[in-house]
Amino acid sequence: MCRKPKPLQFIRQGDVTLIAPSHPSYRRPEGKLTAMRDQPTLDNRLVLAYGEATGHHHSVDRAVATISLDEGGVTYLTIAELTEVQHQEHGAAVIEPMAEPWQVVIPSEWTDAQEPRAVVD
Amino acid sequence: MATQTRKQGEGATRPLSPEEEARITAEVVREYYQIGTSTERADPKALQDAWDKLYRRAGRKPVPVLVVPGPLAAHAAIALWQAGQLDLINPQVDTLLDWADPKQNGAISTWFCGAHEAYWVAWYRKKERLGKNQLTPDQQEQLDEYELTVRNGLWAWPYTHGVVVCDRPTVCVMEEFPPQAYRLHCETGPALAFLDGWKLYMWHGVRVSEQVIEAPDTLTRDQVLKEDNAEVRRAVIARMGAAKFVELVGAKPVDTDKQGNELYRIKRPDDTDLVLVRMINSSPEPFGTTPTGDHYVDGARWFKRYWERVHPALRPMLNKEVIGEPQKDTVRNAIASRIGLRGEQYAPDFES
Repeated sequence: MCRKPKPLQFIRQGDVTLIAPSHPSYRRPEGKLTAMRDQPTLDNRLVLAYGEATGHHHSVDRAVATISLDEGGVTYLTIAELTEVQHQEHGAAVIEPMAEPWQVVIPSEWTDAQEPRAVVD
Repeated sequence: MATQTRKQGEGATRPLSPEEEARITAEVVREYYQIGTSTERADPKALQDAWDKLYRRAGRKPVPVLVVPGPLAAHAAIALWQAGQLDLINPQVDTLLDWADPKQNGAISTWFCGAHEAYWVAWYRKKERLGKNQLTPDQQEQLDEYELTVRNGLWAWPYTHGVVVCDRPTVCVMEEFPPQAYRLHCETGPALAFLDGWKLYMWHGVRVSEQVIEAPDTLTRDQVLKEDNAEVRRAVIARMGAAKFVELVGAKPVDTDKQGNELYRIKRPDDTDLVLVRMINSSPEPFGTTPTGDHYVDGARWFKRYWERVHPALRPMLNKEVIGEPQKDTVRNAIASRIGLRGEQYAPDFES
């Protein structure tokens, strides 16, 4: 008998990390979540991160996904059904809908200004 | 290049074997790749004919077509025309089937790609030549008209009283990566250049400065460290040589993990330490390709490498407001700190 595979909870797809609410490293949203209505789209896909130098992007089907920010500026992804985060180089990662949104993390790097900034590529 | 040659679909008259389908597909790809990357001069007369047809189809009177030598010239021409308060129209919305339905993508393109849309026309031509064409005769005619703009020039900006069309580039150098896909790349000069002087320097699909391609020996350590874009930084290190960069940085790794990721700590007089993590990309490069520049080879697979700077005390950095406590100098702690976590919290169950 086949056992159902354990759902993925901590996904790293290149520069985008997705953490499920069931994972111990998940950071619960602080205060109210605000949907990002002006998030860029390409071919009916919501862009989580865009590579300026390559044109590649991490994206999800906009029909089933909403990207939001909490009051601390942390990004979250709510999905209505099983879907894929796709990237031209890193392929597809399947994510499942959860009771709470997925946390989305773009890595930061330290700067001469003695503060972090989001990594761009 | 001025005339269009539509080939009848072999599959329309008899069933095709998988080998025949593959051969026809490869022919279409080859033909339209050449159209898309052509460096022949644009054909003003053919373009005028093409745009006359498109304007008539849109129920508008044909207008003059102005062919300009490059994108800089095109923008200058458009600025002049706009200063004359000409109305922008968009025949892409008026005509050309419903493929450009603005409701579908929330945006209306105000320009046509011309030759750079060759891949898109090829998709329909492949179906046609395989005998799987599903277009109506009217749609077929519209595609034929559209293809004339693809075969005879580059980007176009259609206005009420005229059309500005950018001439094709004088240089267009691509590399096949992975097999049957292409990206701009040239190690000896611009990968794309136009008669008006506008050009692009590209390193394996990444846009870089002229210096990176034309004078890599003059690149400095500080140029690498001050480069904001991680992909460009990787390209710069690849051009200057990873070994040279490590030498210029003047340090040996203070920690290395079993995957081959490395952590460097560089002492600086009268300044905070510079702490860099050299990471291996989580996705291997496609099969059928060869390593380029700063890379990590694991058996038959190879991976790109990236250098990123972390907090001098490896504090987790989620954003400017959320900075964690210091951690020991380990690769794992450094990699985790980039996404606001401590080393012990970092355990992806899927990486690509």
